[in-house]
Amino acid sequence: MQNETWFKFLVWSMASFFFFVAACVLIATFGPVPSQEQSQLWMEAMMATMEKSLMGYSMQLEEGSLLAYLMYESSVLIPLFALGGLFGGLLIRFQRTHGNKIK
Amino acid sequence: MRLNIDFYVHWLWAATFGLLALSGFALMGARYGWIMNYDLTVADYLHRTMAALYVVLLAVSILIEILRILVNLKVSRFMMVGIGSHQVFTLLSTLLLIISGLFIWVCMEFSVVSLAFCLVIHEIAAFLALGSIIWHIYQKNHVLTI
Repeated sequence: MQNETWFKFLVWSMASFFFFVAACVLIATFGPVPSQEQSQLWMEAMMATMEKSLMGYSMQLEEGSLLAYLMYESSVLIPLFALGGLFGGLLIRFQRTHGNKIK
Repeated sequence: MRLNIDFYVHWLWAATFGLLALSGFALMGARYGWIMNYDLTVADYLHRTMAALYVVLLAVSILIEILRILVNLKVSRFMMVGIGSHQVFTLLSTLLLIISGLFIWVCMEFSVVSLAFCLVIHEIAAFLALGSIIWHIYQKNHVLTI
């Protein structure tokens, strides 16, 4: 498969994409300090995001509405996922140790 | 040609993480805003949507790994979660990113201290994960030979 043209194309595209992302991050991190205009642009964009994006919508949720109720109630899933992950990990550990002993 | 599920999960994971990195770094501060041309609304939508997909992909990967151990499921070398050093690092950094990201999402309204702490953890984990991906590409550079 690794010699197929489509696979080469896929790998080259993804590798180039990641190198561009890493290059952007390096330039932004070690480049010049942003100008006042750029800082202003970013702050304005963040303010617009507060109103228009999912972040903004979640902040505007009315207390006691059905969606807010569902969101608060579904937060119980977070510890359930954590516990599930813990038990899954223990199961794998037990299975490995047990399997090795049998062999 | 028959392609296994781990092949799809691997490349979906790569594309998802790439978009998460792109949108996430743009949201990080004024220094990084130009990465998404200061369109932070799109960055916010993209980051949250891709984050949900990222959690699903991690769950699928862990499930595949459990199946591999329990019922001896055959998987190829494309899996992200496993016993290899890079696989363990990927799992740990992903868990760190997801847990800190969840806290950022949840604590935004009521706990500024938790939010600030999780943001720092999220940023450090993102830098490490991006570095590890570049290292991973370098390790697998034989695939890039034409």
